[in-house]
Amino acid sequence: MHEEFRKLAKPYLVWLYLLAVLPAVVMFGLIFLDTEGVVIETPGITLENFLYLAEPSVLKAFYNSFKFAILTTLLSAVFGYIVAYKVFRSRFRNKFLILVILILPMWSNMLLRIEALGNILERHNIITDLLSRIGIHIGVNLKGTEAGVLIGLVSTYMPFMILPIYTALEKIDFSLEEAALDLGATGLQKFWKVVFPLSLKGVVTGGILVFLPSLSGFAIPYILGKGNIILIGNLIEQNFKEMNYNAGSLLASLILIVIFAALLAVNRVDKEGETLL
Amino acid sequence: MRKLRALILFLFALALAGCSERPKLLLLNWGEYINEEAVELFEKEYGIDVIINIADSNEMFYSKIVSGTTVYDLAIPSEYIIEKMIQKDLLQKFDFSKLTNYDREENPFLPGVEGILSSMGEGFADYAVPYFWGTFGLMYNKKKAGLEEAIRGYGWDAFFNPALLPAGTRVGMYDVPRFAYAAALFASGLSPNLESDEALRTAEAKLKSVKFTEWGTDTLKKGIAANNLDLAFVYTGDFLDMLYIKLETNRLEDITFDIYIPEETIAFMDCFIIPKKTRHVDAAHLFVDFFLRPEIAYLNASVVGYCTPLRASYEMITSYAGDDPWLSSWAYANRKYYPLPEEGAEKQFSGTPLSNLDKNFLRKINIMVNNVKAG
Amino acid sequence: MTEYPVAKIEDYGYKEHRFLKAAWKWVVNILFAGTILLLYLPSLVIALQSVNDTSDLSVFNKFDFSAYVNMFKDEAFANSVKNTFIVTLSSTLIATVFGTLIAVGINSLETKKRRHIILLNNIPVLNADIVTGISLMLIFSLFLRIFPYLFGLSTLILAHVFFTFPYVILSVLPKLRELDPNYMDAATDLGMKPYKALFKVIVPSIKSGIFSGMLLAFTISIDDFVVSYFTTGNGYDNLSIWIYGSIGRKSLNPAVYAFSTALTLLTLAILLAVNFLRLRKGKKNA
Repeated sequence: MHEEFRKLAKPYLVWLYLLAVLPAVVMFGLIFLDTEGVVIETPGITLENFLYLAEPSVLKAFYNSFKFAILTTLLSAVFGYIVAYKVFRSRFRNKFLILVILILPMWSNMLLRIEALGNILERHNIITDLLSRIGIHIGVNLKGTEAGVLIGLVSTYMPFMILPIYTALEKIDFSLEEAALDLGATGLQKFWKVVFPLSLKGVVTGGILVFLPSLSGFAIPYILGKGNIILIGNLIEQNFKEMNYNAGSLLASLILIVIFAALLAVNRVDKEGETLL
Repeated sequence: MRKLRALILFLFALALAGCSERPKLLLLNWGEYINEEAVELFEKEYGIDVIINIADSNEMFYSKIVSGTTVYDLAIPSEYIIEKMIQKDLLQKFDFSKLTNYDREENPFLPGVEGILSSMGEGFADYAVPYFWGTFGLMYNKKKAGLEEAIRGYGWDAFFNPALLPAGTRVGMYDVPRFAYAAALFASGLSPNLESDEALRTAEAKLKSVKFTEWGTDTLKKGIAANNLDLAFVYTGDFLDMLYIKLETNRLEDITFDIYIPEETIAFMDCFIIPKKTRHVDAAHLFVDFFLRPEIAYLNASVVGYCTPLRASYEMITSYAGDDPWLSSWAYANRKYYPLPEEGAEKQFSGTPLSNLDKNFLRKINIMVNNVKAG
Repeated sequence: MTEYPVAKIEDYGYKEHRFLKAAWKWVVNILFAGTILLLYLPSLVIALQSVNDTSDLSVFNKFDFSAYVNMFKDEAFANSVKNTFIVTLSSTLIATVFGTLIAVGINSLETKKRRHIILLNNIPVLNADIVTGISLMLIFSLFLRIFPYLFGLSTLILAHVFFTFPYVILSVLPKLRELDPNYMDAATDLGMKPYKALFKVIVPSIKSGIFSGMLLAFTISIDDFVVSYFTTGNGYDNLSIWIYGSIGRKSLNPAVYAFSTALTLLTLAILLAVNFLRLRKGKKNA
């Protein structure tokens, strides 16, 4: 743009180093110490905190977190794609408006939505109460089960998938589709071989935006899992709540590594910061 | 550019408007543990704004006060964590000249409260003013056929042994590792304050013998009342809490849940404490003094199901002999679940208070409970 | 005349799959409807709860709109709503204004430095909420020795600005790249000082990027819970924290359900209104 403006960016670099990089270094350091909070209890470097990783609950938490994150991402991708595609193909004039209306629930507070969802996942809840008055007696008990948590995760994070996919679909030159049809492709072939690959960028972006929060969240599994389902986010929160900053930092650093890997992957595909939005 | 400046000024003004002129009081409390009406009366009388933050375990109380991100003026944790806070020099002593209603002769505490206070050792009472106290118990759903008999007949043995319970009983455990550990030890006939690896293993085996439907805090009592849960280890006050709510619309005979309080259970006492760095010390004392008034303690106890510490309020509650169904049920419940000790009894309160354990052992307990949850 | 056989389209390998197509369409439509239901179900329950007269969440007693009327009577709730708006509006403003300037700065950097800063910029976006929250809490805690009452409005705004900056930057940067570089040159050639050119030429051309960045920052900030949880203090609660402390407890004022429903309906109304106005404008011009 203009050399004059370069100095506008320099303070931001300092800001990022101070607030994004430095804490990561501090947390990394806490792994090797024995502290209560940030106050050192036993001086000296220790590797004892690594023993925490061998606990069955921690291993299970890792396994569950990845399991939920992957399932959520897959389900969100499928459902999100269907929604995005249908809206894209619809005949409404202002498709963007339709999308925004679909994303509207996201603007009500997440905790409230999860609590409401948790409500109807119990056998006796407000909706079954109303339905029983008209004579319909159903009741599922999904709260406290893995399925319940999955439903909560998908309903919360799927909107993050819809927008990127829609944007990617929009960018596809329609003449490409016309060309495919002209060359004898069936509707299905046209979709699979032309439209879908070109929209993949959106799916990847959406996938990352869904995978990372589901991997590390703690509110949803706690409320919908009735305290039974523990993911890494829960463990991290527990540890920091109980002043065990050492074990907490260890787990947080491991999550950071996963995030870092995602970061590098994104960077490889897109160096100028265009993919994420 | 001009519009920008105007906007920035506007926001600044907005932010300043966010600060009110009235003096404040920051209180850290358990959830549903104070009567909002009483708080409003206090605010009106003294013109002090009370802001209440919630913590749902003693460990959280401790970490919030230690981390100092919020400097609370007052907090109400349980006795064993207060012990730890005193050890770590986090609290300041009460200035009893400012507490006009604090008089253990004229406005005495119940014998159980005095009992727990003396069991906490020298100096404890300088830092802590009792707020509510009580026990833990096994709350159960009367709608589950056969459950009441099983629990009243076998007590702890039934709680941890699915074979003694009716099929499909949904059991809940309090989601505080320290309490789960204590429960398991009680059921094994041991003291809840053991600090050995052997005790840890025993507790783990005991906890693993049940597949808990739910680990929660305030959700347990609600689950039982709503028929979404059958049995849980909760504060006796949780049960009474729920009882008071249901009594507003139901008769005592129609209540669908009850509680069984075993001999071996946790006895606890929650007290006001003042952290060292408090900014509003005088306001804190006024608040504590306010709740030491028998009529206020009485009002408080009508909403919070725990046992009031003052003898005067206790007598106000239990002496009711009129016709109002809610008030008579209230009197009945307090007499039944928080009975006075017998004359000349050795121990003035039922249950065993918890004591402060070593930090590393506590970490082991936390890990152990997580392992149990993981299955 | 010889009768030549007429080729059918199936001879070319094209199968109609009429039944499959219909079945597929059904499946997709059902999934679509189910997805929409899943997205809206919680909001529906919240709306139902807002007109329920009891705070027991498992039964519906009777219609009662008092929660709407008395929405802001509960001081703690009203305060948390006010605080949320103060924090979100301030941080959105700061992030948008300074974020745009920073984006301009980044765009002006040499390639290597630019890519480096963009890489770091992605960290707050991708990082787990809880890690960001705890990291900020740790850093801010270092200053507690000097300012023991630091936590509160200032730390909250700082935290919100921290995690909304990247979104503004990521919205503005692509638009800057799309800009014709001649604009800037032309402006300076015509005698404008660089900063004046920035405000009079560049900013208007990237207006859409700035606007979407601002909208994004607002959305992310208003719903934030985890980061706010760790970076606030001294009684300064925002809505999410208030809800977390009240969920499942008596103190959960039904007003929050009313507030949430009202906000959603209001936003919907505004969106529809804007859309209709635009349509009418379009028809007028056509």
